[in-house]
Amino acid sequence: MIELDRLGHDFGKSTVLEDVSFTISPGEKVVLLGVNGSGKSTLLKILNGLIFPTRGRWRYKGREITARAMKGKDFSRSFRRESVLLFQSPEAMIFNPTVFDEIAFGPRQLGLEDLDDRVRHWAVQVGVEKFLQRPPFELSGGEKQKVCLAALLVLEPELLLLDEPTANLDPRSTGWLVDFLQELPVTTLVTTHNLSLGAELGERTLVLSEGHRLIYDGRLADLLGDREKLIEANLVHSHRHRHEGVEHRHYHVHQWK
Amino acid sequence: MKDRVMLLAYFAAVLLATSIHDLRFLGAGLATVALLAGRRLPRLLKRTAMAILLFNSVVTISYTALSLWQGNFSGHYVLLINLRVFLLTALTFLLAERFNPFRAFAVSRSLLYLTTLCYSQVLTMRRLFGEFRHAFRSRSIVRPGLRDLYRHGAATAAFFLHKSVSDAGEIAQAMTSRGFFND
Repeated sequence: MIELDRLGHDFGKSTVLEDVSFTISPGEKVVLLGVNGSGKSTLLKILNGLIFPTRGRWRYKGREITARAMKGKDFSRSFRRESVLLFQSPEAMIFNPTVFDEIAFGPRQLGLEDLDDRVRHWAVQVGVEKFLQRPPFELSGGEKQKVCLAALLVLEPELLLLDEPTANLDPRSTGWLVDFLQELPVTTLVTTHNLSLGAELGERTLVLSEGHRLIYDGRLADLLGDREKLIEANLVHSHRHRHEGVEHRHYHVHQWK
Repeated sequence: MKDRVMLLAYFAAVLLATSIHDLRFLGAGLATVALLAGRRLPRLLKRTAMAILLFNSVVTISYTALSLWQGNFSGHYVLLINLRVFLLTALTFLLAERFNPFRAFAVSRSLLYLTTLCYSQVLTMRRLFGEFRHAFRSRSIVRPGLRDLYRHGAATAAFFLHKSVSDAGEIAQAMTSRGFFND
């Protein structure tokens, strides 16, 4: 479904991605790990056809995605329906007067029938049906996130890109999202800097280093046994621990519960 | 020192451009800006034109329609306001490209703090605005209609207004907490 070939990207004089190559097959659930500033969000924006790589190339279903390709009306229309991106900040995605309109925005553009049923179905799925007639701006961060998710899923996409979806969620909402994504029959690529959440969000793990390169592609269980790699990616840290009067220091990760 | 001189010269130029009503002098001012811009002139002209296009079009069309209806249309006035706004905007862009605000406002510690705060807010807002633009493009399966553009524009404006007000409150509290207003 997705093929990246030595992809690189610069913002001005700063390199944010360098020599990134991988493929994602339909149905895969992939987690992209990396610390803040490693290039995760940029990579998702490239995969959503919002920005285009400075170097290398990438293909979606065999077609190279370039600015020119995205200008093609038919291709752009099918791409935008099939590949959707949940932004880290839900506020950036919300602009309709009610939650119903927010979820209905995509289907209305496509002129889909049974709009009411579609919107209600996905509102129920994510648990925002009681807010349908309320302005989305009045909801909490977690509720807004759910509305945005419904607004994307109502299009029945084939590829769901999620940028740090748990960053603004409380523990209960995080738990809900993990369960929800696991059961979703859609190819997903989720970014996070939280190593302990990685196993919950996908089967395969990609790791971007602080040098903006892909330094790992494989099972999370194997990554957890590779201390050097974890240190290189800055995904584990070390500080003084005190246990019953004994003080020591070792690399570790704070577990998410 | 150079930055302070540039800032003072800018203030003087703004004062002159707003008090002179002779098109020839304003034209001469624009020619001076063009000379100072050098090789960056085409970019400066394009940026300026894009920045004022909507505002000036609305003002010009409204004025023209109303004055024609009232029978007192003045072509000189239309030229004057457009030339003046163009000159002031080009002058501001030229200054923004050339001077360092931190060095220019270093005369006063308070002004320097204020400049730093403004600059950090500008960077934050610019990054966020980019996110809003990308999110809208990402969700637009077909070319958005006028109603969607209006809704998105209004929601974005409301968000940034609310954020500016709430951030201003937060920053003021943080500065109070750090003892900024003690003296």
